[in-house]
Amino acid sequence: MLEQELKALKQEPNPRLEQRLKQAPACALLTLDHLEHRWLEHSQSLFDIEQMHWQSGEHIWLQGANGSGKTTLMRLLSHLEPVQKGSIRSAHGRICYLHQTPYLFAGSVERNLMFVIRSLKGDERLGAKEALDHGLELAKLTALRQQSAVTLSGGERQRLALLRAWLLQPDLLLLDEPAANLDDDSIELMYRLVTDLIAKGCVIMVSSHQTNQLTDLCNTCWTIHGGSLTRSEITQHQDHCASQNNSPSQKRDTV
Amino acid sequence: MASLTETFVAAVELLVSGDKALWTIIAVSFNVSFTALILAIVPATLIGFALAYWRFPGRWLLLSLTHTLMAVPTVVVGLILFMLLSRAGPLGDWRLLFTQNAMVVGQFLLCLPLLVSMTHSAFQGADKRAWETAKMLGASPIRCLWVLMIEVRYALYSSFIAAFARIIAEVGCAMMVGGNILNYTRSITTAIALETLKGEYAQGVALGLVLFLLAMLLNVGMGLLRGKGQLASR
Repeated sequence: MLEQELKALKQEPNPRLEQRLKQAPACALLTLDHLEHRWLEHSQSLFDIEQMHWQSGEHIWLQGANGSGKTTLMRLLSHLEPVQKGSIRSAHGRICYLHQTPYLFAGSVERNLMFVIRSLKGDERLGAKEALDHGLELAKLTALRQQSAVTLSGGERQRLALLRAWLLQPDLLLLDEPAANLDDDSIELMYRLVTDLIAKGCVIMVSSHQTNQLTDLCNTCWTIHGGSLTRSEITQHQDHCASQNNSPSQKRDTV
Repeated sequence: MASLTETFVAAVELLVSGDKALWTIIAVSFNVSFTALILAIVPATLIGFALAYWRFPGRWLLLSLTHTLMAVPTVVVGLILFMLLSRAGPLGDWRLLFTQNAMVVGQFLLCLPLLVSMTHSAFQGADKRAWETAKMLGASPIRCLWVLMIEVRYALYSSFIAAFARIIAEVGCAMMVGGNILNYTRSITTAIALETLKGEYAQGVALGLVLFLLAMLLNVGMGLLRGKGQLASR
């Protein structure tokens, strides 16, 4: 419906309609409006997104070829990169972006987790303190609690990074290639943490080239291709998303 | 003139015997230089961080100015400060000239550009994910900066040591704004210059030994920190 109105808008400019469409729907968590990004001032733009909404309840699988701008888009949504042109309107609270290669603070696993707890205030801090043991169990890091974080394996590092986010309980969690180079057990453990977060009301965005348990959680696809962002709903198995260009099971909109 | 060996032996005796005049000079030097360094560390670190992390108009100019100021001879800084603090100067009412405070100001100005330049380099080489991760995990900006400082701590320690080495060994500025007053503004370097002119080589050599040992200690410290810095990786 929105896109039909947009098409109509393109054909016949209507200021009132334009104003209404510019206003994000009430349930939009994030709205991207005429978002353009380029690395150098006069270089070709990485992407140019006219308008896109991230609605509540949407768990997004972000796809795109290498260098298409997936990480940059996630960083823009997390306010880690300054918006060059256009805007990102956020109607929700806490956003947490997890790097593809997580950064762990010096010290033990527990110290890394305590960093998050100390960042929280009041009831949230108390809740996180109480949830710490359960979280360590969920991520199977209890035995490594006192181990130096820098000595952890790749999978353990990813789990610890996700556990920090789990303690933080963000409203939007952006996972940048979380399953890259991980074995099935580690992905399963990450899946458990993420599903627990989703159960508590968090929505996720996962960038990944392959299907895995984390992308299975997604119900919407955003694909960056040729500098534009397209959105499609995943109505069946995510495999359809991977071959979405020919998939009849998805409603695909181009922005 | 006594032989070099006799002078050296006399110098060591002066040091070991706890000669009051000699140790007062050493105390003045350390007091002034430590105070100047401590005062400069916070603003220099913040400026270095700002230069490394934000793009703003005039950033390049500020960096160039910092590098230029690093090369300014200490005696020129002393001259400018002397003119500012002298009775006829714009800051003459402060009555700072020929005081330890004037020496602190001079050494502060000498180590600030060096500290800014070195902390800027340290922050530029830092892993940006440290700041970003702390920010994403809900830390306040000050806590994010602290995390980043821990990330580059060895480089920061090195810059503090280098700055201290520069100011404890400077003579031009201390001489001009301190006035080389006995038991008050006479520092190691100004005392060496004076004693040498008087032909009292033993005290000069003793003070030179202190500076030499200090330089060796600082260099060993910097070497150790560089080694540790290389091992630190996440």
